[in-house]
Amino acid sequence: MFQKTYRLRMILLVVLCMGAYGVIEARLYHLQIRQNADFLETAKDQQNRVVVLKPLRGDILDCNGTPLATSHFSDTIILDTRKVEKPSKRLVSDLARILNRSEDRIRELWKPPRRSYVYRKADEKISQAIQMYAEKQKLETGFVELERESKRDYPHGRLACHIIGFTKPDGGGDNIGQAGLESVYDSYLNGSWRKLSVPTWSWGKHIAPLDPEAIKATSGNTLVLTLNSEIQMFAENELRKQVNRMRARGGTVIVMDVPTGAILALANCPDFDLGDFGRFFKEAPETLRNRAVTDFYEIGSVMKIFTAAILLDKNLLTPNEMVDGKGGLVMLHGRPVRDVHPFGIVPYTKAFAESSNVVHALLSERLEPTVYYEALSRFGVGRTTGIDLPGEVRGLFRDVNDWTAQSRASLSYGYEAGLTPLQVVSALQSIGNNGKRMRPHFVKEIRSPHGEVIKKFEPTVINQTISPAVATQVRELMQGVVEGEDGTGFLYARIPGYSVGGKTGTAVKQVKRDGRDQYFAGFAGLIPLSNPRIAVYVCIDEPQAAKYGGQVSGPVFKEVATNALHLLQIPKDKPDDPLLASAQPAVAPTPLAGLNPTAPGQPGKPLLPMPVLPGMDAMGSVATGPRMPNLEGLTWVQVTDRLAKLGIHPKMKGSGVVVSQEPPAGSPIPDSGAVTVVFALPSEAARTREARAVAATR
Amino acid sequence: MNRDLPYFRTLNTPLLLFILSMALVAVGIMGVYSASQKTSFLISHVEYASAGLLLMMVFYNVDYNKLKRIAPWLMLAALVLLLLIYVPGIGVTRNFSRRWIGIGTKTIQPSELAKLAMIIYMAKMMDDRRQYIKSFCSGVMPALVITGLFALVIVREPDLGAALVLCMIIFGMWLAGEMRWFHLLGLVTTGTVAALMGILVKRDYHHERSSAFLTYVFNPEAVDKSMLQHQLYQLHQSLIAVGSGGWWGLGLGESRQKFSYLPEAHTDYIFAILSEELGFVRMSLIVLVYALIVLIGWRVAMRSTDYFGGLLASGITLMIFINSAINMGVVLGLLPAKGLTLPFISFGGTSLLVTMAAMGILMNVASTQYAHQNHGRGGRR
Repeated sequence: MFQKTYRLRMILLVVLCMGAYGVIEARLYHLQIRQNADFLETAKDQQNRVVVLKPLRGDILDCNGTPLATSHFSDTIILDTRKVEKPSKRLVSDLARILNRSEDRIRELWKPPRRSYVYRKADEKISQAIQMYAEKQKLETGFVELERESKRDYPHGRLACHIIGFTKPDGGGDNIGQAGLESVYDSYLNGSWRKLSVPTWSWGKHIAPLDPEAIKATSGNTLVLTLNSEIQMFAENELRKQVNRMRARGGTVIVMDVPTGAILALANCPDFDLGDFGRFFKEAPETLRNRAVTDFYEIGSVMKIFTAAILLDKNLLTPNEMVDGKGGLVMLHGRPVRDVHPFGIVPYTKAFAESSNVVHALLSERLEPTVYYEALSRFGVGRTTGIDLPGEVRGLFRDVNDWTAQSRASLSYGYEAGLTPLQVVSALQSIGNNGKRMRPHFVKEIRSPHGEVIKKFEPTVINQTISPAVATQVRELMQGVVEGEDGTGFLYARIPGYSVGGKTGTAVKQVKRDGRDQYFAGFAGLIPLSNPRIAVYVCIDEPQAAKYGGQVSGPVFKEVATNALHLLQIPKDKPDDPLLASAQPAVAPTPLAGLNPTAPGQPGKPLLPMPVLPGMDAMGSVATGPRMPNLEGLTWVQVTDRLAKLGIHPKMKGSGVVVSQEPPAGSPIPDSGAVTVVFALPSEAARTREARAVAATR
Repeated sequence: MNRDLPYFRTLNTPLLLFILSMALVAVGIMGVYSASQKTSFLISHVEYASAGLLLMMVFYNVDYNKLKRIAPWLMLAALVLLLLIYVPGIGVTRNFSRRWIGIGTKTIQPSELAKLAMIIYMAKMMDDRRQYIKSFCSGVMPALVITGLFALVIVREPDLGAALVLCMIIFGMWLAGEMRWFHLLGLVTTGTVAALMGILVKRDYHHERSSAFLTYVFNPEAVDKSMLQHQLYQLHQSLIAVGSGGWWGLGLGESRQKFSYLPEAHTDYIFAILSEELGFVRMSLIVLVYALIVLIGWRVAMRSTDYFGGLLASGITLMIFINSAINMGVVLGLLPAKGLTLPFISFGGTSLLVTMAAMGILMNVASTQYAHQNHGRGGRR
């Protein structure tokens, strides 16, 4: 130290050190500040990977939020046999066992192309089993691949099958609408494929789980229908029963909300199972047809509603005018017109109630063909209604220039024109709605995956068919059909507590089978007449056990309408008719399966006398009213069916199977009818959709 | 001892060194946890830091002159440890290099120990032979031989980086210790020529990396994608990390390069991760702390009352300077990759312990001057 040069050397070293730090500082500045943007760009490129998010198709809900169609992710299992050169015997047998395939099928995988889809849309059990197996056996990575695909679920099987339609798969799962609403609203339901730039580890693993909101955003929108699945299911059941009882070819029931034109139920028979539509497609393709919009029929006397409406509207007829029944037979333009119930000169109301063809044929002569044609067109004859279902037809309605001399007469009682059941109910609705014909529709609103309404379908008016005053007159005429003692619907369609207007219609079909005439039996009704809320049209095609509209379709109308009135809580508009109630129990008294009045393990408590008549309550019986059945474990459909027989319309919460009920099994049914049934998904499926969606992208 | 001013109230040199070192250790603990993302590394690092603090206090309170007596033994122990690496079952190989010896679950890196041992021994040796320092045969030769021996053993591990650092420290001490300019220049020339010859003769992995680095420095346009993914991968990733920082960084714990893009993120390349997270301003502060420590170190060396203390201070200062500057230089792409830790901050037990022990010695050397200046009394006991 103590020499002169020491200080100099020290200073040299200090300068050297500080210089080095200075260079480092400058370099730091250069990299961090000057080149910052470039490096950030490079960093972003390598640190993020693009994740393709497959969309989850949107749900279809009924008006109460019950899911009719929903989607979840499932795994498709792919085996890439190139990763394992020679399969051991054990591997083959294990794979066959886990994948539930034959060993030969597994062995075939080692033939080209050697990478194949082995199990499409496996349920969770299988996909987990194969993953665990691959892990345990330390199989080559990439040998077992899982590909996420969305799977469409129809929780209620046949329910509303023709309306909902079905899907076919695209690259991301079941996401192409093929029929029904699935196809019409495909662009709303199918969601969007998203690419997401996600921060990853260098080997590709995501640093953080994917944002559930981002996943949600890919999902399709939710369709909320005007359809009431409880009414729908009841209508389907009643229709199916009647079609079977009548040994008919098929039938349709449509329930429409009169003020808006919204469809509350649309049932066709035969129908198909949405969960297994592939089989129906192959074996019975006719079941897939939505007869309500694709098939048209000569509707018979139901047409008299519209004929009468037009005559009244054109001031060519008054309801109480005396008309001549000609003793039940008249020759018109060289062709006989006959009546089932012949009569002479009667007021028009009676001729309408008893459905005189002769009277209507003669009255139709008062209408100019062009006027008649134009007026019928206003009711929608020969025009599509514009409903949101695919495949709707215009029906058959000849141009007025092609009409023959008999055309007016034929049209007046329902021949020479083919109408779809939907056209009938639409025309009927306008009568109930004071002449305003509303566009029939299924969809109430469309909601985004986040639940906000993105599109609302307001009711729209198609046209004014008749004046409001005339509409009231027509409804009064229709009341005569059901409530007049001579009316063709008197025996079949009265509903206690409600004023019902209707019209029966029986058409002889052009075809004969086994040498016998075939019929098309319909019943159209409006309830309650004082202020119509629902329009119902029931038609049954080619019934064998009976033929008249009142007889064949009337009972279905009555059951479906009664149920709908109750479910929609439409107030009664006239006092109950005790005679009617006692004379005709609402439902046949059949013993109810699953009815379990006493809980097991309660000794000493006597079993209540069984079965009980569901009609008893109406008759004022108090001592032994019906008891609550045990509903546990039943499905939604079973519960509604079972309780409807008891005249109960329960509040239903959730979906899946019944987990609790109020009041409990065996206790008396409360007078208020307040029954609550809570559903939950079976434990296996209890996961929420969001949880699935998150897991889907792992 | 100044009784009017309590010791802790005075910002004296040892205290300043202590504060600066502890600041860096704190940054290190934080950085190691962030870069490794593992609590186990954090715990281990804190354990070593605590042990290092203890060691620092011990050396601070021991008169550095006593080190003269143990210097040969230290040197011998270091040599033995270095040789133990070659004993199968004790030496631990990582990344194709045997640089560690295992004790239980822990490992120590003898080359780190050897640095400090050599500094102490060289200081003693030069102090003993002070009168011969200008002579080649009696002064330079013995020093050269002992340094060469150590360097050779370390190079064989192979750990060229550590050997080079050792040589540079010793060379710096010779420079400070008034060896002749002529001798020094001759040594530098010989050393450079020998190194170049070695590189040319052994065209190995090192050579490939070095030539890729040279391409990067002198001919950046020739750097292609494959080079960035292979020979220059680590450098490239390091630069991405540093360059992502900007003025204020991505935020503590927000590094993205630590997700296995940048290898050795918590050890050799912790400076890159810190740059990414803390940004230019804060990193400049850290560089400034290093510069301050080195500056104070030189001040201590300059003011030292005796030759041994001065050399000791020079050696320690050089050690901290060379380690930190080379590490930063490597991270910033100024120097080829060398597998050196950043003193005080990097994860790596031996390095932290040795650095903190060395700081303790430096503080002790400083404290004697402090006492001298104020009271003219002897060193602190």
